[in-house]
Amino acid sequence: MNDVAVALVFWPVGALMLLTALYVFITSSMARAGLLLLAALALESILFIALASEYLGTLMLLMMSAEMVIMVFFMVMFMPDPGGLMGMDMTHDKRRSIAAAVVLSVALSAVAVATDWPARVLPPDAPDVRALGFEIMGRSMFSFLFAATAILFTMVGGILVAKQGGRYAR
Amino acid sequence: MAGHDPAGLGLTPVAGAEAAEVLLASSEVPEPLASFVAGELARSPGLQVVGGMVDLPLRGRLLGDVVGGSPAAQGEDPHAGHDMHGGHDMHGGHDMMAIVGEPSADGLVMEPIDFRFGPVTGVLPGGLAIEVSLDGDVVASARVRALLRGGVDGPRDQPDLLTPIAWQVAVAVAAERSEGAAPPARLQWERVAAVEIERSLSHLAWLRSLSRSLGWAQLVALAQRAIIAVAPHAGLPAPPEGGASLAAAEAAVTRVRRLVEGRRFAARTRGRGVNADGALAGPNARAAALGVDTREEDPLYRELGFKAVIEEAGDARARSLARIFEAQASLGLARLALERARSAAGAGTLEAFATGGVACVEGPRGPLLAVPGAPGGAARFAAPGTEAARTAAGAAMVGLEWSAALVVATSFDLSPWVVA
Amino acid sequence: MSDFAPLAVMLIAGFGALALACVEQVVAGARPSPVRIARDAVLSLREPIARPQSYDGWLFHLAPALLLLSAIAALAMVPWAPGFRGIEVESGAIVFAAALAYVTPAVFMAGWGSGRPLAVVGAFRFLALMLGYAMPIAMITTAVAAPAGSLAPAAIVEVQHAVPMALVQPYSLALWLPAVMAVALLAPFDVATAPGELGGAGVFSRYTGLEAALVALARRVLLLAVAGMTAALFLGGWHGPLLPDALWMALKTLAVGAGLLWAGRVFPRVENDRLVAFAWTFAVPASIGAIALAGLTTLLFYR
Repeated sequence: MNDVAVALVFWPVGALMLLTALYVFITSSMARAGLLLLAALALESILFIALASEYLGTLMLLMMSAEMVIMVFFMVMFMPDPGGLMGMDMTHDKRRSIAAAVVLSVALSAVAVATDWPARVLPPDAPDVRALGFEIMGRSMFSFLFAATAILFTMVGGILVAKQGGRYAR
Repeated sequence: MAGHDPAGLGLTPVAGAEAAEVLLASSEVPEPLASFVAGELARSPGLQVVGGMVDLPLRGRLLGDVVGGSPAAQGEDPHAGHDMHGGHDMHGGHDMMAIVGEPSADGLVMEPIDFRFGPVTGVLPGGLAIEVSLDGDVVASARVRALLRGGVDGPRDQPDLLTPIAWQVAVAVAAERSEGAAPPARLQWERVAAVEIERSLSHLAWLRSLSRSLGWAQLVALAQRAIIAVAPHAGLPAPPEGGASLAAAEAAVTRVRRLVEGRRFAARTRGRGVNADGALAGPNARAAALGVDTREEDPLYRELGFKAVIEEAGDARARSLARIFEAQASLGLARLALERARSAAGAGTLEAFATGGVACVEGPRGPLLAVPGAPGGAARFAAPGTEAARTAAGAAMVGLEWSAALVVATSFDLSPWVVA
Repeated sequence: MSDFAPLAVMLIAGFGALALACVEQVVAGARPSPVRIARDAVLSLREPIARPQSYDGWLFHLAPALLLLSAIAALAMVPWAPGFRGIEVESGAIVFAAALAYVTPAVFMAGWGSGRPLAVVGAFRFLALMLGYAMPIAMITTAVAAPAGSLAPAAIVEVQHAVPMALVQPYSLALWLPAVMAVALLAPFDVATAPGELGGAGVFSRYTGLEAALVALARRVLLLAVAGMTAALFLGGWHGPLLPDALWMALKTLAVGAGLLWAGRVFPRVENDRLVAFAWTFAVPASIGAIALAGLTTLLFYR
């Protein structure tokens, strides 16, 4: 995509993404909050795809759908008033969180603006899958293996530790 | 508190101490309860205790932990004694919307989902409502209610419209018995055939609804075809050419039987809803090797070579097998009875295997009893076992996942009619 | 990829859905009647849209659109002929899986938005099942992409010019089929839309009018996408003697669709707890093993 096309996608989608992320905290329904977050992350994946990182963007789309809906599942399970009918306020400790948010936004924006990013414009059909493959199987193989095994054992172990017998009378 | 409605005091009861603002203590709190109450108070410092004459040792413990009450309750509660304390912020550290209640089967405190399944569903007979409380997708409690009542004001009304022919026969036999008049033999054989065909139709229709709850389209289609094959023969009197075309119906029922005996059916029904309640009747009881088939004592059936179908497991599969075997046997009996009817002549016998004028006809769900009323008055009816089946179904659903629970409830062949 | 590819995908969606609806009638033992299907669609479009009590309006009304969008996005990845490969994307098989992944939020939105207890139960059952089929789909996609060395479905079809993947990796096909049947809301894995247990059409039972028609269309297009991708990835796609390529692909797709619908009729619905247990204890580890075996097969035969 040429620069104009990328810009036409980047700025509106980015703005929409921030808007949906904002609405996550305005709404008091758990289901809507989770799904709005999913919308924000899906829009972010579109940004990835617009910036020639097609495989990563698609993977993010794939994983975020499942993850966000599971998050809604847990929110409905553990929190009171999941339907949002009583209008519970989703924000807590307002002054400190606003302060932390402002500080972090300024810091991250400074990093984004001040960093010396590599000045390479990738063609739209750059072989990103190939590059990713070499990276994962080459330099980063050990970290991916370790992380993947750790995640798997944590998931299975956490469920085994938390569970107390079966729910179903067979 | 005896004679006093909490609402009248401006208070609403809540389920647990975490959400409570006021604890009403009566006199004589027993010792184990006192420790519990003291523990709750230790956890809920904002709780105020309002009570009458509380035992002294307990009062000491209670008063020691309570921080205060609110001015509002002081004015409203006529029972406030000298145990009230001064004002305090009620909300303290509570989350007023915390979920309270008993932990569910997996150790978490959850809010149940309460709803009513019915009275119009695709799988249960219309008029049957199940009041269900689901814990996630597992049934925590279920109660089956029948909502239909037959009109029994006049001498010809039916107590239920699921098995009208069996009831008609019962009423007629009761009337004949009380009068002492024996009907012609041909009529008796035709009655046997009609009752048996209705039985097989009832069992096939039940199987079709069970297949719908199993989500098994092939069995639904086969059961439907069997129903269509049997249905033209239903009614009193049976069609004259009777015996021959019943063979096609029997073949259709055999195909259905093979599926019910197979592994796919067993996977969903074996070991589910085992019930050996003595109050059950009909195929529900015979599937657990309890109960009898009243047809065994009928000489007409003995002449046809009738043998009762008994299963032993008492689970949903056994009930289904009992019914499909009965359905198939009924068609054979009907065919033989129609042949006898064609060749019978003269007056029949009036066997009295029940005392008095009580007529007993074995319906698809159990024995149907009819007693003729006073001349011009209504007959009295009873269908033992139908209410017990509903209760048993509700109890058997508990602890099962929703789809399995629905299969178990359907396997009892419940009747939505209340027979007084 | 030509400029008409998106339009072509839409047309394939429409006519393919109609064809599969006729196949559904045949499998059920009735005579196929496109006229009746069209008439039912028009009649249902005339009904007003439902606004049930105590429902979540945004989620309820957006769900059919999301379901249809995910179905058409999945269909766009299916390659129909060497000259028309759908919407060509380098990692098309993963885009297919990603599109199918949005069936889950759509079903959840429909169930939660309906405001009925049984619809919510249906939505959560589908969620509980979701990881059990999403992981096998993603892993089997990797397993069939290994011999081709590419994630583009057209390349995977090309590598089957001699032998279809169903013969090279039968275990992959055995793990793929239940997973795609679950995601396409097909019996016997239709825990979300169980028509007997959950009343009506399960999570979708509150929809009337245009939304019900969209849901019906989306479900047929999902079946078409799933059948088409199965034919492309496992049955050799457009390869075959005598007949033109697109015709082979169409025949294989309809055959797979008919097979899936037939399997839905002859088996009773599998209970949710058993299905989830099977998915986690058998399907996911077996899919990992399938990747290993696929790697071995690739090294032995394809390189």
